[in-house]
Amino acid sequence: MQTLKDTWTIFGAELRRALKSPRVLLVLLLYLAFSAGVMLAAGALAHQAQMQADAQGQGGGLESPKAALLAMLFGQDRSLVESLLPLPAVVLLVFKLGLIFLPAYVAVLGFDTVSAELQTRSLRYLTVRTSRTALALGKALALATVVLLLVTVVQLGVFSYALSTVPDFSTTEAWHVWPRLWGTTALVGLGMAALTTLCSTLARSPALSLTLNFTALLGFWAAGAFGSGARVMRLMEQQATQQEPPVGWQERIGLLAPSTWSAEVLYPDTARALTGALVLLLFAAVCAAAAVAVLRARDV
Amino acid sequence: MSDAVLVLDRVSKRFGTRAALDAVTVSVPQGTVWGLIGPNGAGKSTTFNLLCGYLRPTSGKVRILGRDPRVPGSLKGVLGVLPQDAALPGYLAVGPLLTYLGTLSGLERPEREARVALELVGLSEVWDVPPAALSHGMGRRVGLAQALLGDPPVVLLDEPTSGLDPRVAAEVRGLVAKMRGRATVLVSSHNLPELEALCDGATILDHGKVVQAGTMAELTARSAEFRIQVARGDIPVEALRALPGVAQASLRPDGLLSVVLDPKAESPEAVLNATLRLLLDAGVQVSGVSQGQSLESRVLALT
Repeated sequence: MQTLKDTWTIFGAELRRALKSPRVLLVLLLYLAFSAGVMLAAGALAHQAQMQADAQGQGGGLESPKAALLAMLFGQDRSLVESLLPLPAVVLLVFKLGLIFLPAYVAVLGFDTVSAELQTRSLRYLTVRTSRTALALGKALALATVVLLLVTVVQLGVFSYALSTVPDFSTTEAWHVWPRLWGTTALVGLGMAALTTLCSTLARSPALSLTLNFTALLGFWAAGAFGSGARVMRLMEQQATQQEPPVGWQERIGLLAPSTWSAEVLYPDTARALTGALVLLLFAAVCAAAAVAVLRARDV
Repeated sequence: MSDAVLVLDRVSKRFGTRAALDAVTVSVPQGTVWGLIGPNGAGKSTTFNLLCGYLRPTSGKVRILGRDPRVPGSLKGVLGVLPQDAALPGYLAVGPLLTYLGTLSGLERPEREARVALELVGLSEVWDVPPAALSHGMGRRVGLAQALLGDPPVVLLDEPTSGLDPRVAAEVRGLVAKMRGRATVLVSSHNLPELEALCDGATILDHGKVVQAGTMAELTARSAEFRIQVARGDIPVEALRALPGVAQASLRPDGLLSVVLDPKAESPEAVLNATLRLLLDAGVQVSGVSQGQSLESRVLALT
């Protein structure tokens, strides 16, 4: 009970500190500028693709350029591409690219959340007053909250842009799809906030913490790319031989990457989406538990 | 000691292959002001850090009021610490920072306690000032204020007067002296005259080992010898040696007469009086008298 109370106190102080920090504003501006750039590029591309499709007499089906783009971004699964096809390309592009860059934003936001206090030893004023569990959880939750706020602001901006520029996209549709896109980004953000906190507890120097964080992200990216490449190869083999080859270890390596599971959350199949969501939650929980364990065990 | 509040029992701490502490036993009685003394690298800071739970001992037992400092939350509201080399958290102004720390200590009225603590160190006016804007001395005083927040029963002060001007240093010493009896205070300092005046006892460390520990009277041998600075006159050394209670008397070329008492002497003061009477009767002019060795001499001899 006392740990919960202290976690709440630390969460409040850390959140106020983060919201006053110029760094959060800078990351938000970067995120918004990046999204605006993607929106403009995606808008132009979508317009060109539509004109091309109209000229060739293609409809908006699975053979359209948009479907090919979605297959490239989200995988070759027909049911997934079909479910995403009615949504504006700009929303999906910003969502997908946002997911790719979100871990880096979170790392930049929180790499020094614990490590800077270890370096200056200011954490010593806190560890004699409260448990290290409350410290790690309070800091991780504050970082996660800032990330969620950031994601919400950016997604609201993108949806507003799409509603005002895409004639077929209605508010009802937006309300229907937004929770799933926001939920996926939020789950990834939670996991990355926990991972960043873990890296920050491991290193006494913020620079080392950031390096560790980016090394981990690079590792996850490599695992995801490796698994996804192996999956594409398997699907191509399946198409060529009309037989279903077994899933190899190369493809299973992709399961280690959070990005593999964030793609699962988008599937129209509820069981599959829930599994993806649960794995992302588990990832966040494991990283947070590891951050607590490291902070409890280490010298400060 | 049965009423020991701070205990290190055969504690060792290694950093890689280097032993910072080697089977150190420290015991600080309740309500006393106790010194932790030693040259640089003796293990004072490591001892402090183990008591605060910042470090985990390689072996041995550490207890504060019977609690293991490494158990999560065990020191809440019990311990006030002024660490030597820790920067104050810079994300809050002084007042809100102390209030925040008081809340985490479980104080019922943290803001009020924060104001009381700041007033105690004479810094009420820095309530809204960020810690980064404080001078070194003011930062140390704010650090002291956070250590005294809520009047904890155990206070650990690492170099509390370092970097303070003489007036403020004297005020800090006064504050510490007032805590005697109310709280158990462990003070580490290189200022040995300060510790001698302030502490009831001390533990002297060198190269990670305890070289001596005891009350200040025991450490300085106050009841075992005294020194008389002679200004002028012929000293009757043989007559002095013959006095009851005197085991040894020796005269240095600079006129310092050192008298070692017989351990069986009933009253050191009676021997001192007899010695002075003998010297004055012989026409010797005395310019100063001191009991025992200074703590500084003792520490220099031991480390």
